[in-house]
Amino acid sequence: MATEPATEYSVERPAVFEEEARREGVEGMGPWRLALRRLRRNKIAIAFGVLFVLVVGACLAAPLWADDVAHTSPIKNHLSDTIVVDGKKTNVVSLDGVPIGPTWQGEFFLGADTNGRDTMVRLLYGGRNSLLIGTVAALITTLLAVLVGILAGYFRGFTDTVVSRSLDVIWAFPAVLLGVALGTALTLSGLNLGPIEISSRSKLIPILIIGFIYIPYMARPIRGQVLSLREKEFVEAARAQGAGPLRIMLSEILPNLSSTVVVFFPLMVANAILLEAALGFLGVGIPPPEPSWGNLIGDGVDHILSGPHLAIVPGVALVITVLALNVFGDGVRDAFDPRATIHLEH
Amino acid sequence: MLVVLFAVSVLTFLIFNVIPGGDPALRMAGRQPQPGQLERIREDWGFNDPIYVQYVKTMGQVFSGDLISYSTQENVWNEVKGRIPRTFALAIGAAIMWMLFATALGLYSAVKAGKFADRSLTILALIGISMPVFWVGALMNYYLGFRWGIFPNGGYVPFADDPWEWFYHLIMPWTALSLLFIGVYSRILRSNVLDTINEDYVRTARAKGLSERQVLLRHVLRNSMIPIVTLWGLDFGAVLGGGAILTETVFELQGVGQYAAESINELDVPPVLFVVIFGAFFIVLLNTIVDILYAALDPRVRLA
Amino acid sequence: MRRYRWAVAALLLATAALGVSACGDDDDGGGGGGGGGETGGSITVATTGLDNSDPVLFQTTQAVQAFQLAYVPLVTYAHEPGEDGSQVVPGLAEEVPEPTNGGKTYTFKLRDGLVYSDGTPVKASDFENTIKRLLVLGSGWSFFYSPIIEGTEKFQKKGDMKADISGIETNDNAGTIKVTLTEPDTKILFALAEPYAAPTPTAKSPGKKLKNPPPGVGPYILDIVDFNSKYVLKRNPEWSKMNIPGIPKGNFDTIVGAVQDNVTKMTQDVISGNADFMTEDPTGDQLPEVRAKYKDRLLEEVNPPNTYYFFLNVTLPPFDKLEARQAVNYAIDSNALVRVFGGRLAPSCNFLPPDIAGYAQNDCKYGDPSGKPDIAKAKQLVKDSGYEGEKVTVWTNNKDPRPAIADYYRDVLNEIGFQAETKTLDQQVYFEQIGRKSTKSQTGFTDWFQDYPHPGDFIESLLSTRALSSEVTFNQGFVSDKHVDSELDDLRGKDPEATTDQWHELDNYVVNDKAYVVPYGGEKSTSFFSERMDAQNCGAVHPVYKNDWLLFCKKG
Repeated sequence: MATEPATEYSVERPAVFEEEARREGVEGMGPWRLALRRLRRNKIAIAFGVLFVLVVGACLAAPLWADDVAHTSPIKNHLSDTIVVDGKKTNVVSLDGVPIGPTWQGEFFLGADTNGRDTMVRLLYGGRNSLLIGTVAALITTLLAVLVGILAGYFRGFTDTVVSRSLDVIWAFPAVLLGVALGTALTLSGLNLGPIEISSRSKLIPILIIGFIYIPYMARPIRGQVLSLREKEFVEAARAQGAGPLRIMLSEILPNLSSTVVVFFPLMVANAILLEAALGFLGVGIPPPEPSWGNLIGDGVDHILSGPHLAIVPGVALVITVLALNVFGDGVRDAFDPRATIHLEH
Repeated sequence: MLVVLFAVSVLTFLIFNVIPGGDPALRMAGRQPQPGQLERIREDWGFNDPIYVQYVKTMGQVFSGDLISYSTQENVWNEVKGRIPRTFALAIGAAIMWMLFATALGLYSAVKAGKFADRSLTILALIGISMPVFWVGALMNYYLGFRWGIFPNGGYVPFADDPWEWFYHLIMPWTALSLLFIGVYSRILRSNVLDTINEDYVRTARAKGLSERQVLLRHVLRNSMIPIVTLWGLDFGAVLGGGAILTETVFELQGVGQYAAESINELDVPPVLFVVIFGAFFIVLLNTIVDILYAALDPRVRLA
Repeated sequence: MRRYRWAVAALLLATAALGVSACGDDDDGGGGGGGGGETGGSITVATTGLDNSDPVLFQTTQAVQAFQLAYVPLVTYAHEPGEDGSQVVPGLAEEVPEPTNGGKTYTFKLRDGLVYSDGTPVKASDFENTIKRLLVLGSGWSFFYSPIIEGTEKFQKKGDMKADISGIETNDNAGTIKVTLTEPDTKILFALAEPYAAPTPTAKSPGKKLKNPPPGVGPYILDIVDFNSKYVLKRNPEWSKMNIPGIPKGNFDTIVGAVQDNVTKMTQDVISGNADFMTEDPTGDQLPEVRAKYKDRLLEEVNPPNTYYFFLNVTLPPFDKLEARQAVNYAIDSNALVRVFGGRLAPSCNFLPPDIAGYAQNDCKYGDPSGKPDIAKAKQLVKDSGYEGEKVTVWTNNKDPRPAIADYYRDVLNEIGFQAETKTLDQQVYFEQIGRKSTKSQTGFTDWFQDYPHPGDFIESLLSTRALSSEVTFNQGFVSDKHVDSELDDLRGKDPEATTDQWHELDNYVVNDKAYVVPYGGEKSTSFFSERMDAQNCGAVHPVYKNDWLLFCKKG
């Protein structure tokens, strides 16, 4: 799959960690406080983190822009309208079908698309959708990956085999193909599984699909970590004290996974946003006319000869957002372990 | 391995046969089906059979090479056969390109760790990871291909027709596809190199009197590359099996991946089934090869 | 060390590539041959290709353009551009017969001395064989000939090539063919003038799909070199020996069909001269540039005759009420849609397209299509219908620019008081879905390109009760109107040229009186030629073939 390399991460913490803690005179400080300290000192990561927050803020402010500045909605067509640019009355969309470019005015700040819709408004609303889908999908991935990883890693044996094989199956399916297949199928008729009924237009559909596809990426490293955790002394001790598997999983293993989860999460959000863009580009993301950065890039590329800005703008927005997440995520990983090594899990 | 392929095929079949909204018999009958014609088609193709019977029949056709597409009524294997060289050309070329560049950049970054060169390369790598391949590809196609005419505007030329044009048409797709991987791999390599550089056996090598360059290449690089090679195997397998759908679509290469995506849109199940199995096969195959290689290459992993 | 050498080599290679790339693109003309003269030589047509290799099975315009050069039927369409091209004239038959037997029987007499491209003589029974193939192979055009020709329905049920069609009697010695219909219907002549009804040698035309086109009678022979990349039409040596009047022999020795998918690339080939003509329209994005720079090489006409409209399901809310249907007609702004089509729409308020017998411009009750829509009136009508706030789903498929059309339509419906959303299906499955009653589609995109230039092809196929009898219908509005049906019954056996007023009345009735449909115009197609072709004089836009390649010529 071209959006995602098959990289598997796992985070280890060699004894160096404790040594460093002693050196810095912060013995006794929990790993979280330590990480936070380190993160705060990483100016670049902080800067990009702030950038991400700004992007989110701008997108959340979309209704403000739409109502007060552009006076339109993201789905309103203005095909036959005219506006005044530089004192001249111009067609929003020419009779040839060519939309207007950026006007740098309140209305059609970044120009219009081929249906006469305001690009800036769609960009902001599209960001809302892309961020929403990306974040919630990443949450779902995290929840299910942790669940599945713990079960497989702790119980091993038959449970592990079933879980690992299932993960293999999802893994073997080229991610984008699987996304397109599920996307096509589900946007055609919605999801009707027993009591669960989701309309084909719901945003939940791309969320669930993306969330589902990324489960193996996170589940495997977690499973690996659980496998090694369960051999540690404190788990032995808990078992000796008579704690049942559920208690051990919840109170001993899960907390130790938290740093892994925190490190992975920004990366998962970034990946989810990219996959949503890919699916939107191929036409199987959110159904029209709702914008998402993927849809916008897709529309822009389709009409690139009319005006490259239609494709460039949403792409740049996407890259900035994902980059911010990646740099910040990198910083988080460095903060938790400046010497994090990346291993391959089999 | 076989279990996985089986599960993948069942999953695909289910996804498409459980959704309403696609009656292949109607599509085959054409504009105005005659009375009785639809029933005849359904009988001939077995659409009235229970789903597991249909599955067995279709799978049989997949392996016997008799699989027929619903949309075009052409033989699926013939269609795929013609597209394999395109996908392979893309995959192999890109894999080589990204490996070379990632190694060079990753090594250089590691050697200059902490300095400006390293920092800038890291930023570039991160940007590379953050750019969607289809967006980069589309813009490359537009500016370099269409506007400035430096490269051809998409499309594929068979090697047999014109080796130079074949190469020329593939440069942009190779680059677009590689950018993402170069970003990831160069960073992994850099990090691995930085670790190995401090390992004991490296210090021993230095003590033995080997030059820095020799140490670097013979010991450090070789050991740092092992996990990279295994990763590369997995990604290569994925692209080989038609996973580079987006690149193929943007550059109109008409490869296996693009064929699958188009067939999915048309609810044309036979090609989708075929390509999915085809793709999964390669991923699993490369996975296995990589496992073997890893054990063979890494002396520390010769365990049970 | 080795690694560096590789890197250097790669770098050199890349530089070389960039250097060479500076040259390269501007090749001169497609095929060589023939020089600047008027006949002879070769031209190249860029096309998305044939959809089938068998002359009874092809369905696309791209295919008919090629096939018509090699397969002349009993009667054929005049090789004249424009409206004149929709006239039925003699082909292999000596003349176009007048029907006898109360309008039900047509007797054709084959010309003497007809031979196929392989030299074998043409027999009358070959015609019946062709019709049988159409039916047995389940051709998409079977419905042209069955059940209208007597005995075809029974024949189809049997599905056996050896059985007889009672309504077709042929006499090989006399060279006569007698076709009897179940009821008078002048559409049969138009159907028989289509290339798929052309006789081919029975011995070489069995009841199964042919991978290579069989011999036919025509100015050219069609040779499929590689179905996915190339076909060639070359002169038929037998043609000039036969002297069939009214059919030109063509100005080129060979016409090469260069098959490809990429329309953008095709346009660039025609611009540069690598191709002489393209069967597709330049993409919407390229069109403005082509219009601006190559105006003299580009023709744009509503062709083949077609109508784009929104269907309104009259059996479901809200469009079961006349007011709601009228509201939509008042609200649609053709100018907006012209933009969506990139300028390639000719606004119209008629259901029948121009160039078809029976077309005469309606008084546009809902406003001048080139003017502004009446949104206020539309809103009022929606209120009057009692369906304000009603949820409406707009159906469309994913072929460009239909999603954009549907989005505009959705927007308008919302503006006048409905709650509209779009639903998109793939183009492969779209018409099959909206043509079923069970889908319950309220409204959506649809279009109709003629099968042949007979007004009944539009109104009967799209708005009659008869059309509702198939499992999938093209009467997507499920319109069943007694007046429409009785008018159609009356007009069926009559020559459309003689009854144009009546057809016009019917057009008026379905749009102005009953608002059964929302027509907004016809798509203009383009004919884009290379520099050396004479587009202005020999562009040959034809109502049936889209472009008649027999009329193409070079400049000078």
